[in-house]
Amino acid sequence: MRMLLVIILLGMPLVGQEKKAAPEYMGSAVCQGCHEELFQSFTKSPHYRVETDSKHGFAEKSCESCHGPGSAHAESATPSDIRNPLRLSAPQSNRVCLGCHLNQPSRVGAIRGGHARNQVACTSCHSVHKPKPKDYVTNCGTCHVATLAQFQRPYRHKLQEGGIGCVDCHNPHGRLLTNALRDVSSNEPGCLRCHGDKRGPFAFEHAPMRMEGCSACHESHGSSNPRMLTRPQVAQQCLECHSNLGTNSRTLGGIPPAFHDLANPRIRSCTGCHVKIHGSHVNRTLLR
Amino acid sequence: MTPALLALLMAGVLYAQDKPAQEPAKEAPKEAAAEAAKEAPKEEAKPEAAADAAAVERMFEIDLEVGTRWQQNVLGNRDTYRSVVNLGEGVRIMNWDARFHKDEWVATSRGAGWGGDPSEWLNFQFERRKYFRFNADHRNTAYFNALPSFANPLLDRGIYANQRAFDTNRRLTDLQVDFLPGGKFIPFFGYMRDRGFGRGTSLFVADSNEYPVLTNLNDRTNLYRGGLRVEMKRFHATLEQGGIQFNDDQNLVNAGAIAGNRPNPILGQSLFLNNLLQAYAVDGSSIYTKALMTAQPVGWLDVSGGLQYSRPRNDVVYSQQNDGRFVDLDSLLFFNTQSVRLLSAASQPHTTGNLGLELRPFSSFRVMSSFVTDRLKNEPTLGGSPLAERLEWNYNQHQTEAVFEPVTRLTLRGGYRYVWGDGLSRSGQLSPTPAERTELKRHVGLAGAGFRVTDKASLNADVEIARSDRVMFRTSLTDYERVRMRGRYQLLTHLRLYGTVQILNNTNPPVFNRFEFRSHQTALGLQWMPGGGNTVQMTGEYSRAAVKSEMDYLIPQVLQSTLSHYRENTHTLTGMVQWRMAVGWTWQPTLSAGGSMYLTSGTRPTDYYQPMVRLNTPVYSHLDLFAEYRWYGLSQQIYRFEGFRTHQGAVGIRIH
Repeated sequence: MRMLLVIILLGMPLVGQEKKAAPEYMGSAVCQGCHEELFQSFTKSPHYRVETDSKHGFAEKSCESCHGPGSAHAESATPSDIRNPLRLSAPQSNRVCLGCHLNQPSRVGAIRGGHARNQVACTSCHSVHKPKPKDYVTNCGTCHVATLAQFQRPYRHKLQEGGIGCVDCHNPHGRLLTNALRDVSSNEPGCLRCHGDKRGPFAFEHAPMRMEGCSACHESHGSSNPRMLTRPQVAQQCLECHSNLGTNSRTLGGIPPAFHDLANPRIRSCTGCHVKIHGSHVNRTLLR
Repeated sequence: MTPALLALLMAGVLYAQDKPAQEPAKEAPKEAAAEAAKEAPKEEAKPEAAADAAAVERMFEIDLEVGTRWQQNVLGNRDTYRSVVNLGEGVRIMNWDARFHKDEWVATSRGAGWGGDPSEWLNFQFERRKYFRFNADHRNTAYFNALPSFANPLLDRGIYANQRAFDTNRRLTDLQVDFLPGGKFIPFFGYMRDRGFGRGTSLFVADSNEYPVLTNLNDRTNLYRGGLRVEMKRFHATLEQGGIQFNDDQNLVNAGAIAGNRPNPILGQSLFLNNLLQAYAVDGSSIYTKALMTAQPVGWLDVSGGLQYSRPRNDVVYSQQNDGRFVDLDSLLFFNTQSVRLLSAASQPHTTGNLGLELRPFSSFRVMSSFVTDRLKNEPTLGGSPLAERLEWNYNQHQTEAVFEPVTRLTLRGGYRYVWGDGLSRSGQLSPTPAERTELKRHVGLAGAGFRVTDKASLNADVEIARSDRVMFRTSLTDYERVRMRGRYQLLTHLRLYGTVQILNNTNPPVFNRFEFRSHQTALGLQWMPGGGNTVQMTGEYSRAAVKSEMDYLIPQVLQSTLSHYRENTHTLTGMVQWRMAVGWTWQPTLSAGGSMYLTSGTRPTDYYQPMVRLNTPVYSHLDLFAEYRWYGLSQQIYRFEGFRTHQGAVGIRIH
């Protein structure tokens, strides 16, 4: 009996406490009152269409479409009273964005992409309020620092000059194949978008081109070797595959194509004769 | 083209200078005042709000840099300079970024390098919201490559000439228009044209000799595509149909006797090439179909998938007419003229499919699973007869991963990937069979963790451990461990540190060929903007990378085993400091200095420096003058003849 009384007495304050009202939507004009500069920038961003478009159900309350109902924050002006996707965990933050963006073509594969698996939030790369996208070189480079450093090598793709961008080759939203590589047209390797002369198909294919891709021989970001090759000498590049040691492994190209005299510098320049190294239309040994 | 573009942009700038003063005066105040009156009547009146809004609501904005560049004569190897840097002298539109915005209409344009730089690019987007969105990309890329150390058979004789050199251009145009963007049904159409053309030096290969000759390159690709996107609340589908038309008309020509690379006569007879016309006429096409979908049938399940099919094919006419002195090594017969005409064709049906899902049974737990398959088969003919030496490739990958968040700031994940496939390719001339078969079987364990230590610091780790029963090539990674870690820390309000570590170790088991591969990359970066970066901004990155590769191989002529060593120890330093000098209230020149330094030792020691300094001085509210100095220097210990160094200066105006 005494215990029951204690529980009732302790419970009284809770019953007497007024239930905190759920925050309500206030509309973007209220947000603009304090965040004028931010709002003006936002009006030029693609997201501003949410303000005028009824499709998403947030007409005239576009700010709250991401930040949630803002009445509590409007009264207290306290940052903790409103949702800030930048401070949420990546999955929670992404849920906010994917509320609208999930079923769009750029999201295909995103749920299995490297960024999604590694908890990289949409807001890590995208400035939601700003009209212009971030500069993707510095944007990607703040995480992929070592990769960006590879573009300082002498033989490289012209990233800094704007000749090519990270997203020309990679789909940051995800791709199922290695390194989120893009494809061109349907399922051709993305490299062929610019290097169309290597497209083929060739009557005599060089197998690594199709099976392992260009990176079997080339450092795609940058290299200190000419032609962005992984080895400084052509002979070393070729013979590491074309050698018949360890044939138990049943690898392709292991049996040497011929008895070449490697003491002769002419022969060491493999591509001096095998000029169609990416594939030939007419010659089995890629000579023409 | 370039002067016209320049004139257009300059006119645009003048328009931009006038408009901001006029347009907001007659439009924005009206709108802003109405908004202010209608939406926030309870708040205090804001007469200045309308003016502020008007100032920001500029219809047309532009940031344009035009200047002229000059450079000191390149000291050292000019061909290497052109292969690596290739920036020239003259007037350039260094870069621009323009935006027009009025009501539902938005147009943006960005670009750089116009006027002769090796990488000229332009992007233009034009949109009327809800009605259409047009995007155009255009790039002109000059590709020059002439490096005497590359595959040069005459290097031992002191002849520094690249026999596989190119001076070509590539022009890429990519257009796409979407109708009814933001709606549920979005038809779209696209066109891409890719053209490469230019000249170079290539080799005409005859029995026992090869001759460096002039080559003319000309390839063209036209891609047409169209389709429909359906975007519903819980479902999306994209259907796309496209076609490619492809031509390649490379030819090699020569007039006048040349001796070729073979220094010695055969049976007392010297071989030489007199006249040559070798031509390829490649006529190719492809159709493709692409179907993609994503769906969220219930709140705890995401599904996505795609099916892509293409069938590229081509017909080739190869012709060769040459005269000189040649030998047929099989019969040891000498001959003076040769005429060859070959017809070939190839078709390569290629199917790619994928299916994936993400299950979220609990808010802190999810499972991701995916399956990918990629299959192609080459069907070649030569002279109308099918070839047995075809290529086939089947690749499959299945991956399942579970992600668990035990606490808000910690994410753990683990999973398994199985990769398998098989392939068929023609074998070498000494092989007893015309084709070789290979298989791929790889088991990969996956693990990872993400830890947000505080709002200011986070750490991410990713581990892969693979074991393979079969691989496709001797150079394929077999038993490897890969570790990647990334972290960032907001040390002070305006000081941010970030870094990465990547390690990859591969060791082949004894049944495979010996292949030891070790690589690691460590990189650290900082961004420092004291006081919000109003006076000083600084960014810097340092990267250290090392590669060690050892693989055994067989020297063909003596059939002796030896080791292929490759070493690379690299230090890369990049940085930029920007200092806005507070000389007066209105005149604040900005000095920027930085650049990059790349030093590597090992198999091919190389030093490459790219420092720069730039001064930007405002002379009017929207007009700056700039002056820039850059230095490029490349040196390679083993190939000293390929080094170069040069100074470059540039001056110009920036309008913003």
